[in-house]
Amino acid sequence: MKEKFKRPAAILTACLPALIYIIWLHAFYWLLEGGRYTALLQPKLWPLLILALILLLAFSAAFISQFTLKTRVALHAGAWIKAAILILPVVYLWTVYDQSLGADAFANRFLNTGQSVSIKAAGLKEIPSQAFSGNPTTLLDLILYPETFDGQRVAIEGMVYRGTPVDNSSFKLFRFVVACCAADALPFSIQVKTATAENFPNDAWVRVEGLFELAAINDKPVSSILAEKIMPMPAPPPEKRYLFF
Amino acid sequence: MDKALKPPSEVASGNLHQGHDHPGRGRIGLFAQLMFVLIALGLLVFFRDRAQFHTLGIVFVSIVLEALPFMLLGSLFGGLIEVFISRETITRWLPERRWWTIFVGAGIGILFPVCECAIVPVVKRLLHKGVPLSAAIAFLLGGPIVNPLVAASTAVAYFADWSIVVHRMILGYLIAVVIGLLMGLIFTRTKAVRAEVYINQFEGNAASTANHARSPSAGEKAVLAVSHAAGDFFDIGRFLVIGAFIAALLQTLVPRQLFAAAVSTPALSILLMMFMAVALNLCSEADAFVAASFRSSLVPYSAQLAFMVLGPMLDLKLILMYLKVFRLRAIAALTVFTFTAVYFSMVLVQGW
Repeated sequence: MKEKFKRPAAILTACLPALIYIIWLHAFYWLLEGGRYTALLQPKLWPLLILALILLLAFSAAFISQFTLKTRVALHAGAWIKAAILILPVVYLWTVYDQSLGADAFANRFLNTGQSVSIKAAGLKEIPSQAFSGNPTTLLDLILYPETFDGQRVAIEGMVYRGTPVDNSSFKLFRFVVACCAADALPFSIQVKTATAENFPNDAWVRVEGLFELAAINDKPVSSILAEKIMPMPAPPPEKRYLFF
Repeated sequence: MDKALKPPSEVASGNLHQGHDHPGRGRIGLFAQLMFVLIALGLLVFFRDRAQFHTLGIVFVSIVLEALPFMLLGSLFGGLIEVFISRETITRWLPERRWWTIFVGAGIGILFPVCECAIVPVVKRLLHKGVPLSAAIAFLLGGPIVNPLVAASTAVAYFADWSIVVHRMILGYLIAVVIGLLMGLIFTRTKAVRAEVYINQFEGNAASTANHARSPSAGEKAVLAVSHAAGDFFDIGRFLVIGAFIAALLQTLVPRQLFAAAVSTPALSILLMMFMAVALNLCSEADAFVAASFRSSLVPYSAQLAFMVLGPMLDLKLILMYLKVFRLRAIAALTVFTFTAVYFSMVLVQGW
């Protein structure tokens, strides 16, 4: 009876590498399908994923083509543990795919660069009546080319971060900017000042329309938006949540 | 060229069961890995709705996804080296006891641009084929820094500040040479490299398949090379996963502000940035963007450089991956030497 059980288990153990390659193959295909991978990786990295797909296919084919039931493999706990470790990222991938880095990661990664400024009273009165295109620009544009937008009306989308103590008349609007993958994502933020108290919670997605201001505080350029309108918006799909260098 | 070859299925399944140098240590290792799986699954089951778990999961998966293609590629290169390049050829190119091989090893990344995840399986196979220990270590440390892709990404991150690119490349090269030299002086190949890497497995194969008289065809060799690669990936891949998980945990729990806090004490700042490089496990082609983000927090230039020079040489996932190539004592020496060399180089840069 024991022998009867032992042989299929040993064969299954011998098949484990192929099983792992196939699971990963499926994971990479799933990520490439519809550009899902951009929820975690820089879009320009698609050739890498294709490469991984091809290599995993080759690994699976080489293994399966040479596999024989005569292969003598003992039922070995080590092989099962290796397989479990290699499957773990796939299990995590399917668990967290719908989520994205949020206020918690922002607080952890944010390096205070002096972007926050004190609220100027009656700032909204200074908003010039320029034509408003309605197209949102990105935080990356505002932070990389602030001079271009200085004094302009802008519309911008991002997530809310309220530090402690909570200030109802200002918050940080942030997005993560990815160079290669979410592990290296950098938080880009801008201070949003409002005339009325707002109570959007951390992680809420909002669209802010208002005047972009570039000021110098202690010889450091500090940018902010004097908000005219703040609207809640649904969270974009996972693959649209990050900005990319 | 080796004439008698073991069937690929046996090679791959043989790799499934590569033993440890010491059976007791192997059991402890397996137990630790089992605990890792249980903890990771436990976090998933009990904390899956927490924001911190989402950060952990996203960072973990993204590190693995970014590194895995490189690792697969590195495994393939390793398999090709194993099957297509004979020991004699390697010894002719990189003979033992020739000091200049260290300089070649440290700079080979210029022609063979790979990141640190791809390099470990390649080095494993190179050592197996008889590449001198010091040259292999110089390649292991220098390869992921001294290469055109890393130079380009550093230039982009620092808005074409070529001085930092040049400093990173030169210091990376010099430190790789020094550590290669040092390791070669202190350790013999047998003392540094794990037995299953050191012993020429093909010689064992030849004995076990002595009745295979004919030379394998190119196609058979190609299949064998891929099988070796598949075996290497199955064997080493887990260390990438464990390292990525620990890095993700640290990224989730330790605020970066902590590392920017010591800006007024450069020596401490260098040290903190080095610890961060080890903990974050970033790819050498992306780490410059993170280093550059510390400029605005007035983190010293030398500390940013320390982050970019140490990270590709030594991080958690690499230390774990080294376990499949080197013995514990050699890994400890490599870790201490590399850390010390980078630290004192950066203190010198700071003083200069």
